[in-house]
Amino acid sequence: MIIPNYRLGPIDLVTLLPYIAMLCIIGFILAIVPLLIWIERVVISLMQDRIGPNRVGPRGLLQTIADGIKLFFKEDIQPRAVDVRIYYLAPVLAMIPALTAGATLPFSTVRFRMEDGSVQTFPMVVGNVNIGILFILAMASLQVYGIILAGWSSNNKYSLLGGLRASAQVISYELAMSLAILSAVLMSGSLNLVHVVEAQMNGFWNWNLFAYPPLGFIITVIYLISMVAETNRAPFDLPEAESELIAGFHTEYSSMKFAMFFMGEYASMLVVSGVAVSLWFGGWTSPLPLLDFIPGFIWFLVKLFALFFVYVWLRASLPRLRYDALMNLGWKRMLPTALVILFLIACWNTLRTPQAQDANPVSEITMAPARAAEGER
Amino acid sequence: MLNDYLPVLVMMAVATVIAVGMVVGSYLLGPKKPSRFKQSSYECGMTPVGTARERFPIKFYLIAMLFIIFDIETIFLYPWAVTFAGSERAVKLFNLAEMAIFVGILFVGYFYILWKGAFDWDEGQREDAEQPSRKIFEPRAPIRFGNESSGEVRLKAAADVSSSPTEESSRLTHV
Repeated sequence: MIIPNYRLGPIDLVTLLPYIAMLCIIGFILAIVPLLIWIERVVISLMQDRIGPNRVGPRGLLQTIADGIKLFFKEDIQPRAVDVRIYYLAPVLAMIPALTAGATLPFSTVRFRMEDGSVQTFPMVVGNVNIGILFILAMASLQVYGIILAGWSSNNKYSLLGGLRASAQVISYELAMSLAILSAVLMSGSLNLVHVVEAQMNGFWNWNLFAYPPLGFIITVIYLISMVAETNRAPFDLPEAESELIAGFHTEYSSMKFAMFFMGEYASMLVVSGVAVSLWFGGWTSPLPLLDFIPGFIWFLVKLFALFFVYVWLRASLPRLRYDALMNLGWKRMLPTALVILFLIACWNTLRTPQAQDANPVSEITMAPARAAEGER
Repeated sequence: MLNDYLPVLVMMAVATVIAVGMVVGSYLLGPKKPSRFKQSSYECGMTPVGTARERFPIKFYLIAMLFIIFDIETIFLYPWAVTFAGSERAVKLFNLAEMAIFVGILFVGYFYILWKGAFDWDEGQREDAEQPSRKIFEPRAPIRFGNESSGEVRLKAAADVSSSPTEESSRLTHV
C-alpha cells in the first residue's frame, strides 16, 4: 500500500506522521478499553460455562460503555479521612504514564511516494528515538507512583496494604522484565524498537522468540510472566485481591476516578503486550513473506489480541499466588534465570561472530591519534 | 535530534489533559449528597478503627532497597548490550570477560542476600535464616495452620522453660 503523495495540500505528511500516530495510539487505547473488558467478560464466561453479559446491546456489547457513562455521572465521594490533594492526584498519575508509554512503540509502516518518485518507508511511531525501550520502562515504573499514592492517601488500611503490595510486586518483577528486554536488545543491537522489529523481518523464523533456541523461548516466557505481574493481573493480582483486601488501592475511589485506575491498568496491559510483540513476535511484520500484502497494523493488532487472550486465559485458569510464593518466584527464580540466560546469549553471540579477516578497524581508530602525534614530531 | 522528542512531549501533554479532564468532568457532573456514613473510611461496613497511618512491615523497605541495587545493575548492562551486538569477535570476547567479572561480583552479593534470608517473606523462613549454618537451597518448611501451630509454640516454650528456669516468668507471659 503506497500513499501516492507525501503532501496533503500545504501540509507535509511525513513531518505530521508522529502526530497521526499519537492520535491513533491515544484514540485506540481510549476506544478499545471497553471492548477489551467486554472480550474479557465474554471469554471468561465461556470458559466458566456461564452466560456472561447479554442485556445491553447485541451479546452485551454495549454493557461496558453503559458502565462508563454511569460511572461518569456517579457521585464523586470524597471520604473525610483522605489526603485530598494526593487523593485527586493519584488517578491522574496512574493514567498519564499508561497513555504516554506507547509513544515509542512502532505499530505499522507507511510508504510514501516522494517528490523524486522514489518510494520511502516510514515507521508509524510517535517518537522514533534511540532510547525507545528505556522510555517505555521508565513510564512503566512511573505507574507505581499512582498506585502507591492512591493506597497511601486513601487512609484506609486495605488501600495501604494494596498499594504497598502493588509497589513491591511491580519493582520485583521489573528486574526480570528489564533483564529479558536486555537480551532482546542484545539480539538486535539497538534500543530503538523500530530497529528491533526490522531485525526480525521476513518470516516468523527470524523472530527473537526462535533466536538462539531454546534461550530465546525461555527468555520470552520470563518476559511474559513478568509482564503479567507488572500489570497486577491474575494470577498476580494480589494488590486487588477481593477476598482479603476488598479492592486494594482503589477501595476508597468512586465514579470516574475508579474507572481511571481500570483504564490505566488496561492501557498498560496493551503497552506491555505491544512491547512483547515488538521484542519477540516480530512487531508489525507478517509471519510469512507471502502474507506481506496485509498492512502492518493488522498484524500488530492480531498479535496484540492474541496476547490479550493469553491474559484472559490465565485469569480464568489459575488461582491467585500466595505473597511469599510471588516474591520467591520473582527474586529466587526469574531474576537469576534471566541473568544467566542473558549471559549465555552473549556467549553464543560471540561464538557465532566470525573471526575478523583483515586489519582490525577498532585498533585503526585508536592508532590514528598516535600516528598523527608521530608525524608532528 | 531533539525534534524526535517533540511528539512524545505533545503526547504527554495530551495524556495529562485527558486525565485531568476525566477527574474534573466526573467532579462536575456527579451529584453531591455527602453524608456522615458515606464519607467514612470503608471497613467492611464496620465503624473504622483508628487510621491507616500506622507501621507496616519492614520487608517492603527491604525489597525497595534491593530493587535499587539490582536496577542500577541492569541499567549498567544496557549500554553494554547495545555496544556488544555491533562489535567484532575480539572486542566481544573482551567485553564478555568484563561482563563475566561484573555479573560474578553481582552474584556474590546476590547469594549473600539469599543466604541472609532477605528474600524469605514469611516468618517461618525468617527464623531459619537467623541460624548461621543454614543451607541456601533448603526445602521449605511445611506450612502449619491454626491450632496445630499454636500447639507447637506451647510445646517449644515448655521445653525452653525446662532448660532455663530463670527466664520462666517472662516466657510464660509471652505465651
